[in-house]
This record gives sequence, C-alpha cells and structure tokens, in this order.
Amino acid sequence: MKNKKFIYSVIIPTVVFMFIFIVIPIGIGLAISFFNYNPLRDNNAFVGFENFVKLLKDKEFLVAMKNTFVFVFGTVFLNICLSLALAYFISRFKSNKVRSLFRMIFFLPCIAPVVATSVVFSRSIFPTDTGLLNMGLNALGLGSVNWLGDPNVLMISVIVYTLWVDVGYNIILFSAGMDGIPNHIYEASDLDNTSEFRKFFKITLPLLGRTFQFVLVQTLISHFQMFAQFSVLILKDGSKNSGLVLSRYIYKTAFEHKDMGYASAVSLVLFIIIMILSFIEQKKTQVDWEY
Amino acid sequence: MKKDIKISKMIRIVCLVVFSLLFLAPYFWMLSNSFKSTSEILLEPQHLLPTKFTLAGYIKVLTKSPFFRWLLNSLFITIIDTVVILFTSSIIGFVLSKYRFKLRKTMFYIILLTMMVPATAMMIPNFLLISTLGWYDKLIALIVPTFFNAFGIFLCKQYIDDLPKELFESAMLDNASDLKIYFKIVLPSIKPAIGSLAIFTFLALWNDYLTPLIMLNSAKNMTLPLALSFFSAQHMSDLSATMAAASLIMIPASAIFILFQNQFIKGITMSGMK
Amino acid sequence: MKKIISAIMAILFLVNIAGCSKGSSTSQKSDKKVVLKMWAHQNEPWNNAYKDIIANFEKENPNIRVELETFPYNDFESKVQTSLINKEGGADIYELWGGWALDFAPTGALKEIPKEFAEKVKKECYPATYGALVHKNKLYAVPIEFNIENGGMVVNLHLLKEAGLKVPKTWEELKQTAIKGTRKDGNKFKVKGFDFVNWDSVSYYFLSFILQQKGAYINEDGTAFNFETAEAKKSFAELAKLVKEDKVTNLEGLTGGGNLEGYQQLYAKRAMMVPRGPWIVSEGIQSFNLKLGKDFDYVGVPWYTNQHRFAAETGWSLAINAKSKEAAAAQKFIEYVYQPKVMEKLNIRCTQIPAQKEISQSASYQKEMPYTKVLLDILDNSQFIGRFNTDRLKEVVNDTFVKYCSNEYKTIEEALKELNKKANAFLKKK
Repeated sequence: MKNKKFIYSVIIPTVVFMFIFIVIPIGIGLAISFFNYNPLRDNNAFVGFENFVKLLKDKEFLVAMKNTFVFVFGTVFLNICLSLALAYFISRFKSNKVRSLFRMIFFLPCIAPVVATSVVFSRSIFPTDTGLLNMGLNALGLGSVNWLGDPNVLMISVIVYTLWVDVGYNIILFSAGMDGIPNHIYEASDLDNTSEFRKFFKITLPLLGRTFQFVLVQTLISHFQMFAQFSVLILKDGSKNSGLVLSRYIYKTAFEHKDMGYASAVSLVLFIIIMILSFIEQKKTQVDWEY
Repeated sequence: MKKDIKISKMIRIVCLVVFSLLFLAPYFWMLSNSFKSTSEILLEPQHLLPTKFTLAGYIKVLTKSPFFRWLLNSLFITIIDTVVILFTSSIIGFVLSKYRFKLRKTMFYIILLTMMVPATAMMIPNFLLISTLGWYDKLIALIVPTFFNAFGIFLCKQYIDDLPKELFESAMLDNASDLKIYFKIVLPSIKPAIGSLAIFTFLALWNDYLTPLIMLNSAKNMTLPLALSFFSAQHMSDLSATMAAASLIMIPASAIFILFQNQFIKGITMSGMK
Repeated sequence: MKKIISAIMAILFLVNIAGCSKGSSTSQKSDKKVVLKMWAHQNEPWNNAYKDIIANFEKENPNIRVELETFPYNDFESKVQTSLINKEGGADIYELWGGWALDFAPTGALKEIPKEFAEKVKKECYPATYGALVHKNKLYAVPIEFNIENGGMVVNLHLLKEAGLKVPKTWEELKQTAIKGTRKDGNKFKVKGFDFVNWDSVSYYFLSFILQQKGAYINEDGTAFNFETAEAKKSFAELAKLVKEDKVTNLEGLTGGGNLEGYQQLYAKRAMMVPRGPWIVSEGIQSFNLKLGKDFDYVGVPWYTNQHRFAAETGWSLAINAKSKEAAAAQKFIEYVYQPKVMEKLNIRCTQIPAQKEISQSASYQKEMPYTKVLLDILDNSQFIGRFNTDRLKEVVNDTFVKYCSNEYKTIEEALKELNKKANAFLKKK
C-alpha cells in the first residue's frame, strides 16, 4: 500500500484538527495559569507562579482536594467490591436469560444522563420530608436524616448515588471476564465442598487479573472528573463546602468568581493526577509500543 | 453436601433480588411522582402510588417548555458526532495500522497521549477557544471539537492490527483503490469495534452536561441534560413536572437499551477486553 | 486537492486564533426586523410581566422583535459573564443584579446609559437603587426595583390561627411567637416558627442589626469590612441563638437537602413566618393558588432596636451589552420600560417596591399593593449597602453562620475573625 495522496489526505486534517482542539487548548491552559486572567478585562497582569503559590495556602482548594480524594477512593473501593460480588453472583447462574436480566437491571442507571438521575435523587429520593429514603427509614421506625444538608452525611449520599449510577458498568465488564472462566473449574471445587468465599478468591479473582486492572484505573480516572452530580445534587457545594470537589472548584473559580488564571492553575493539578493514573495504566497493560 | 450448595445458591439469589429492587426503586419512585399532582407530593402524607392519577406534569412539560426542540438538539448532536467519529476513527486507525510513513510512530504516541487529556481540566481553554472561534452558543461548538476521538482511533487501530493479512491480499492484486479497500474490506471486518465505539460515543455525548453548560446559553440550543437542570430549577415548586421531565428523558433511552441490550453489553465488554 | 484545502483551513484557523480580534462583525443591513435578545432570571410572574410588556412594545414598534430568555438564578451570573466575554451568543439587554453590575461595569462590557437619560434616572430614583450601577460617574444600567429584603415577612395565617397566635409587634414578641409556633416531630420540623435561614435574610438582618446599634460594618471609603465590633458580635449572636437555642428553624435553607425554599415551605404550611422581599408574594398567589389576606399575609418584621436603620442593595436593573449591534433599539426598549405607566404595572405584577420615588408614592400603586405599606414607610431608613459584590458577601456570611451554628468555632470571636478575613479577601481582589 503506497498511495501517498490517500495517506496525507487522512493524516493532515487529523494533525491540524488535533493541533487546534487539543494542543492549542493545552497551551492556552498552561499560559493563562501564569496570569491574573479575567477575559472581560483588556489588560491581564502576568503574575508568574503566584497562582501556584496561592494554591498551597488556599483553604478552599485543600478542602476540594480532600473531598475529591475521599469521594474517589471511597466510591471506587465500594464500587469494585460491589460490582465484583454482584458480577460473581450473576456469573454463577447457568441460564443466559437470567444472567442478562440481572445485568440489564444493574446497567439501567448508566444509560440515563447523570443530570436526570441527579435531579430525581435530589428532588425525590434524598429530600428530608418527601424523600423516598426517609420514608423508608420512618417506616422502619428510624428517624429522618438530612441527606444533602448535613455536611457529615452529604458525601455519603453522593457516594451512594454514584454507586447506583455507575456500578452496572463494571458489573458488565467483570461478568464478561468471569464468563470466560469455564464452568468445570467451579464444578471441581463444588465437589470438594469449598465455600463460595474461597472459590471466589481462589479461582475467580486470579483469573480476572487484566480485566481487574483495567476496570480499576478506568473507574479512578472517570471518578476524578465527575461534575454533574456535584452541581445538581448539592446546593452551592454543600454546607461548609463539604461537597466541593476539584471539578466544581475549577468551574466556580472560572465562571462564577471570574478568576480564570487561578482556575487554570487548579485545572493543572487535576490534569497531572489524571495523567499519572493514565501512565500507570499504559505501563501495566503494556500496549504494544514496538513497531 | 448438596444442602450447602443449595443454601449458598439461596443466599446468592436473595442478594441479587434485594439489590435489583434497590436499583429499580428510584425509577419506580420517579414514575410514581410524575403521575401525582404537586400538591399531593408536597402537602399530603406520602403513598407509594398516586392517590389521584394525573397527567398534569407531563402536559406542563410538553406545553410550557420546548421539549421537542431539546430532544432534537440532543439527537442532532449525538447522531452527527457519532457518525463522524466512527468514520474518522476507523479510517485513521486503518492508515495508522496498515500504512508506513514518516512520523507514524510519533503520531500514534501523540494520539495515545491525547487520550489521557481529561476534559474536565480543559474546560477553561476549551471555552476560550470556542469563544475565539465565534462558536459560543451555537450547536457547532458541541459538534466539531469532538470529531476526532483518540480512544476511537486507538480502538480501531488495535482491531485492524489483528486482521489477517489474507484479507488484503486479493485486493492488492486487483489493485483496488485505498478507499475501496477501506469500504469493502476494513469496515465490514471491524463491525464489532465500530458497534462498541458507537455505543460509547453515543452515551458519552447524550449524557454530557459540562460542555453544554459552558458553551450554550439559549433555551433553543440546549441539550436535554442541560435543559433538565434548568427546568428543575425553574419549576422548583412543581415537583410533578420535574419528575415528568426526568421520566421523558430517561424512559425512551432505557427502552432502546432494553431492546438492544445484547449489542450494548457486547460492545462494552469489547472495549474492556482489549 | 484535499491537501491544499486542509492547508488553507489550517491557516484560517490559526489566523482566527492568533487574531483575537476584538471588533465585532458588521451586521447585515436588511429590511428584516431588528431582533433584540433579552435575558432575565427565572421567576414565573416576573417573566410573564416581561412578556406582556414586550408584546405592547412590539405593537408600538412593529420593526423590533424582542426575544426573552430566562435562566435559573443560580446559573444566571456565570451565564451573563460568559456571554459578555463572547462577541456573539450574548443578549442585547440584560436584567442585571446590582451587585454584579459592579464587576461588569469597569470592564467596559456594558454600554453607558446616555447622559441625559442617566441624569433623569438619578433624579427620579432612590439612591440605593442605582448605587452599584454607577462607575466613575457614569450610569451603566437602569434600575427597575427597590430591592428590599429587610423589614417584611410572609406569615401563614392558618398556622398562626391554629396555634392561637397573633402577628408579632416587637422583636421580643416575634421570638416568643416563633418558639410557640414551632412544631417538631422528634428531630424533624413539622412547622418552622421563623425561618430566616436563607440566602438573603441572614446577611441582611446581620447588617441591619449592626446599623440599628449605630455600628458600622464597612469603613467610610468602602475599602475594608470590620465584623469584629461589639455590635457585630451582638447581632451575630442574636441570629445564631434563634437556630441554636430557640430552635425555631434549622439550617436547611442554606445547606440544602429540603425540597423547597423557606417561603415556599410557608406556602406549603411547613413554616409560619418567613422574612423575604415582597417579590415572593406573587409566587404564593400564582404558583400555590393562595389568597393574600386569607391564607397568608405580608407584614412588617419588628425592629431590633428603636434606631430604625437597614442596608439596601441595588436590585434588578436593565443593562445593555456593549457589543450589542442593536444598541439603539435596546436603548429604546429600556426607555419604554422606564416610563412610569409601564414601570408601575411591572412593579405591581412582580410585587416589587418601585425604584422611582414617584411610583412608590402614587395612589394607584399603593391601592394595588396595600401590603407594601410596611416597606414603603421605611424606605427612608435605608442606606446604600456599599460598593462590593453582594453575592460574595452573602456567601461568606452564610458560610460562617452555618459553621458557627453547627459548633465549628469555639467562640463567636473566632467565627467573626474568619468572616472578616474572608470578606476583606474578596473585597481586595477587585
């Protein structure tokens, strides 16, 4: 295959496009983080590393960092546990119909826009006096909880919601991995009367190796960037900023407080976190780099 | 012996059924509330099902807001983008995989790198770029920047790498044009990858909230997720209408998914296994 | 061929990016109608009133069409800001909150109101209503209301009657009434006696209580806040006590988690007294189908001391985008709305206190809006709040208040020290 014309007519637009919509924005983002930048003004002062120095002293930023990490690691840990368990239970059914029924149920929330499900949760599930959750608690004779107003509970509520909306995805990935494990392996251990628990750790988990890594890193990357539920579910980032995460902090600083230079500095932090995670994954899965 | 297995099977089934009910409950509650009147939701003791069944919420959404316009915007953006992404990803993947040219490796590395660029961290420069291009508050701002998708290119390239050589040999002998090879040979043989990519891009675009939030302003240009968040803020005291709007957005998409669930699930697993 | 095209495309793109052209493209002159875009925040009665005004305006000016777009209040400021940055996609006319105009006017994003008209506005309106709209002696927007979040509250007459209580006349009475009217079920509020915990009221009453003690919260030239005075401490403690000890309401109005705003809860019979501006009355009548005087009433909030003072900020106004291609038509529209006949109707329908002195004193307005008397009587007790972004101040005051009420600080001094630090930080950041 030698047609130069064909190669160039595909490659040149690609390069130009990538340059405009990816390389240039990265450049812009880096550049304005050194300015006190408000696009409404005509003259924006160059401030050097001031924005980055400010980061270290900015309480709000530190709170956002803390919340982001609590949210990401809490959610991802629970997400992986839950999706592994449910996928395992599903994979042990012999009938294909039953398996796909359960997968479908768990995957339903992933289909809906996060905004839509957030609206449903914030207006119908979590509210203190008309919400389904407190109705359930009251029916069991327990007191009501202010799921979205109480700063100590807020993050738990967001984590519960995020699990609901995101677990189905990993269930499908894991159960696909598990479906690849031949049934006779399990049958052999069924005869030995091994407990389900041991079977899972002895047989299933080791055979899932690569899928597991992929799922873990992908879930981490996506959770670091979550934005919609933090905007819709929570009122003004929650009381005492208990629901403030990096993505929201960037948005708020740039588009509400009109300080785009500083917001770019915060973006860079998020950027670096995601980059590190991506590199770990690339190293681990060893994309074939050799040509 | 057998009994133990029975018990553990029972535990499994109970667990799954309980979780399934928990997962379906929000859907049930949303639908139930959407058929109640707002005063029933706010002023009366709560019941699981509407005491007086009403369509007022739905009527309000469909008459008081440009709901179909939002739906069309969303469909327009997602369909155009998905089609374009499928085309660009597969053809670039094909070129990267089967042709040899200068800087090929560099280019592939760069594409891999751009795959790692998080959209959330890019919101400010993207906004400034769109604003410079004069695309602010135009649908084009949501359409064009996503035309080339690094993940898609990567997926297609990997898939084309694995295609057997024999596929191409006869075409080479016929001296078929490159485009003909692409359309007649490459596309049909990478259907699974295309299907998987289609599902991914469609879902990502259909559900995107941040980009439209930053790039759009006019009600007439809004996509469904953005419109819904505005709608629920506007009708803060009208819960029935808010739930009706949410149902209208969620139910059709869910129905499509249930109809094509096998393709969906195949598509998702494909990307994970790669 | 394709190569050449893509090369040209690339060059065009780069020129576009590097150019950063600030000029606006010339609009095509044609016989078409002039189309004006107007943006407002979402509020059903207000939006309906605008629509009717627009319809009448279009009748008088058949060559102009006005398109109204509305946004949720919480997103509105950032939407206005992002649109002002852009050459296109913004509005010609903005309904602008005074506290934001401060940030926009110095950047040149808003068009100056012509001298002659500006003089007229300054002569005819209360000073607080345009205080924030002036920058270097030039006026950048035209006020439509006297924003007054102090001095008035809605009361749910059914709940008062059920508890055998009357509308309170003094601050002490109000506290007692609130305590008696509060109904709880375990830790859950069935009825909040006096729900002043909302985005506006905490800050306004805090400032007003300081002024009523003859204190000050900002220095003469408006360059520094001082919240560490004895007056501030007393005010803050008075408000916090209502939440922490008297428990007549909780923090939900600021922290979220409920389903409705405080005043909406009052309309839903879940709160007995809620202080807010008169703009909430129209919502009770239109969205909740309640009758003023039968189901609920709008009454005065008793003064804290006998020094009747409060701070008023510049409320909603109309401004023109400096980049507007139809500035003349936009100016025409604003002048049309400003006419007393039109403005009075708007004020009545939005249940606003008028910005124009003449309207607020007119018999026709007072006849339509008898319940605003409690506010009209105290307009002269107001002073302009100061030249700063009021939303940012509310943000820090509310945040400190929530923290203090949930026992995050050891002492009130500690709370006010932090409040002072944060408030001055954003004041300096201009």
